[in-house]
Amino acid sequence: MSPSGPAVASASDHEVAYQRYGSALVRKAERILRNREDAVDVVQTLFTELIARREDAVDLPYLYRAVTNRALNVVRDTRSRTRLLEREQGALLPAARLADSTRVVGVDLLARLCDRLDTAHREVLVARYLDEMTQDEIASLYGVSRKTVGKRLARVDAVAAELAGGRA
Amino acid sequence: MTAAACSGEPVSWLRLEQLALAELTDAAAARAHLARCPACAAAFARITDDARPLPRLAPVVAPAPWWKRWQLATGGAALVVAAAVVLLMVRKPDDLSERRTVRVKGAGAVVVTLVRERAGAIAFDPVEVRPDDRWKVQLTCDPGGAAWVDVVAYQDGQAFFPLAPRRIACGNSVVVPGAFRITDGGAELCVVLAPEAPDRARLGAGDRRGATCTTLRAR
Repeated sequence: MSPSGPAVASASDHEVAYQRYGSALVRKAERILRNREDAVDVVQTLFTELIARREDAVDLPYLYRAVTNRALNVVRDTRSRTRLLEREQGALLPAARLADSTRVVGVDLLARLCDRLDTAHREVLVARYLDEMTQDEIASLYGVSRKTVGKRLARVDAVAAELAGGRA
Repeated sequence: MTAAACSGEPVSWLRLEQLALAELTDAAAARAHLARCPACAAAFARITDDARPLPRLAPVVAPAPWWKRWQLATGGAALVVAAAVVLLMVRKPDDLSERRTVRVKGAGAVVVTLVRERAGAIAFDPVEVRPDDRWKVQLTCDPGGAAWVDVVAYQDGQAFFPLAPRRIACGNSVVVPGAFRITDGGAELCVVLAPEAPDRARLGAGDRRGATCTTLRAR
């Protein structure tokens, strides 16, 4: 369900990968950070470090996971959170397509969820509600069972409900 | 553009991106879904219609692998060395490119390159210095940004400022005006980047915040 594209490795290959996948990754980071400037910054920093560290081959699913983690780090950083809220451009982003959720996960809600969830749950949150993946896709992407994904989503939903009810 | 939800499970953004890149193995199923789902078709159109330019990636020179640096350092001859020395090299790789990227408010990631001219030969990011070498500094950062840059050389506990501090507009391999020589032996050469004019009193006191530094050995 999560087919890998061509994998690339050397410094020049990473630069080629940036040209090939950079726009897709910026769009993904934008869904989390809600502004292009910070999204571009996250993606450029990722590739700069990939090149410097001579990491092994990368493909789009790998880079998607990396962008999720880096963008969430920006959201969790209280110094950058204020800036993100000021820059938030929700109107420019696509509407959610998930039929079972009308939840709009903006920066504020995402930040408050991040404060309450661990890394594994944060990744599932982004994969489901921002990247709009199926549970099977999430399971494949993160190498866990679908049952585990279901449990993590249930926890995410429970925390979101608590926050919505003002019991956070 | 429609804001309607998908009637079933939407094609995820990852799969839509892979479809646009012709990297999706089950592309036919995804296309069939798009044909009957306006919400997902609109999402796919957002990808294919996105013509915003991707900012250029600041060039970073990947370091040679540790074993190649070892070969270069020894001329490829002394392959049998004390285990402790080998371990030391593995544990402490000299990652110049990573060390020379500085983040500055207003300019983002700035890649600093030291340029040495020695008898007409140009070397980038060298680690040896002779009194007759001529040095320059190059910066690379995304156009549109700007940063103040200053250069300070530390020798025997004293700070020397060979160039005037300047505000540099970002670009590809922007050469900081001015060149200088480092006499009297080795030095720690630091390039300081800041959103405002660097405080030389602070730098003179040895505060290296916002600086990327290189130890230059006399040769």
